[in-house]
Amino acid sequence: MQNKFVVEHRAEGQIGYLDFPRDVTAQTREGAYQAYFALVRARVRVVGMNFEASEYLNSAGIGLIISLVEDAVQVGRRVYGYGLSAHYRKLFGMVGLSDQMVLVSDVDEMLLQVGGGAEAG
Amino acid sequence: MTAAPSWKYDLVSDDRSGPIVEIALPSIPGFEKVARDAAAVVADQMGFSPDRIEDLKTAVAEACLNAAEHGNAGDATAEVRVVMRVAESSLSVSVNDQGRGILPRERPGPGFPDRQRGWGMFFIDRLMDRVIIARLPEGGNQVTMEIRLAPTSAQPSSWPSSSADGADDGSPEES
Repeated sequence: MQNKFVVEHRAEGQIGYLDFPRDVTAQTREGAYQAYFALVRARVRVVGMNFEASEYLNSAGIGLIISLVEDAVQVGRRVYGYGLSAHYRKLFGMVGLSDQMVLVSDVDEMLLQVGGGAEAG
Repeated sequence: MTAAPSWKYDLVSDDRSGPIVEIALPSIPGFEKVARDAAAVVADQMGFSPDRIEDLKTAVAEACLNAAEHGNAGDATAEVRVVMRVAESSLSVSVNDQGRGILPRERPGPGFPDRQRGWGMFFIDRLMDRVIIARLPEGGNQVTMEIRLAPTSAQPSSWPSSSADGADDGSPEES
């Protein structure tokens, strides 16, 4: 059973994935950054944020996502988000996240947009 | 001078009927989900759309988090009290804390120096039809949020209406 504050990570070529848990809140911050730094060490160029398991994102959790996205984008990484409900896609748009990351429906759509080419390694 | 209302009798809507649901929460992160889910049940029973229920869930959770973290300064023993008033065409949810802390008023936006914080009140403002923030005379803050049934989708409440007394509110901040 997934610890509700742990963010899993994996790298496939130059695409790194952050698999967010059911609750994305202030308590998720430490785990999220541990996972993100692991992707940094793996030198990924694309970060895919997987929210398929996420049912509850509060304002602190959305602030965490803003922080991660800004850190990634600042160094030239492309960031995608998938698996969000329509409601949370709306909230992401309200805070300007959709200007900095690409929101798609699922991982297949993300891979299509990434191109499965150069950035996939 | 108009007396400020106690939390139990403040009114946002002119509809003065319907059941009242009250929940008392500890100021511990995670417990806001109790109020959030309860509000969803009430709103669903009233006939709100799934989209508006999601809006309400977010707003209620954020108000409870603000009350716990800022109003009650994270004191786990201090209470966050949530009062939901069902009316024929609207639902009002008041979230009260007991503390001396001040609720954040800043609204992050483009150019805001710290975009990672402070989105709670922003969401409440944007997602609810009406928001009133008041300082209670006995201490503590009160955030009252109102969500209205859309005229085209208004349905008779499945709950019986009942009259309820109310007091005029004082000079709260409204947005």
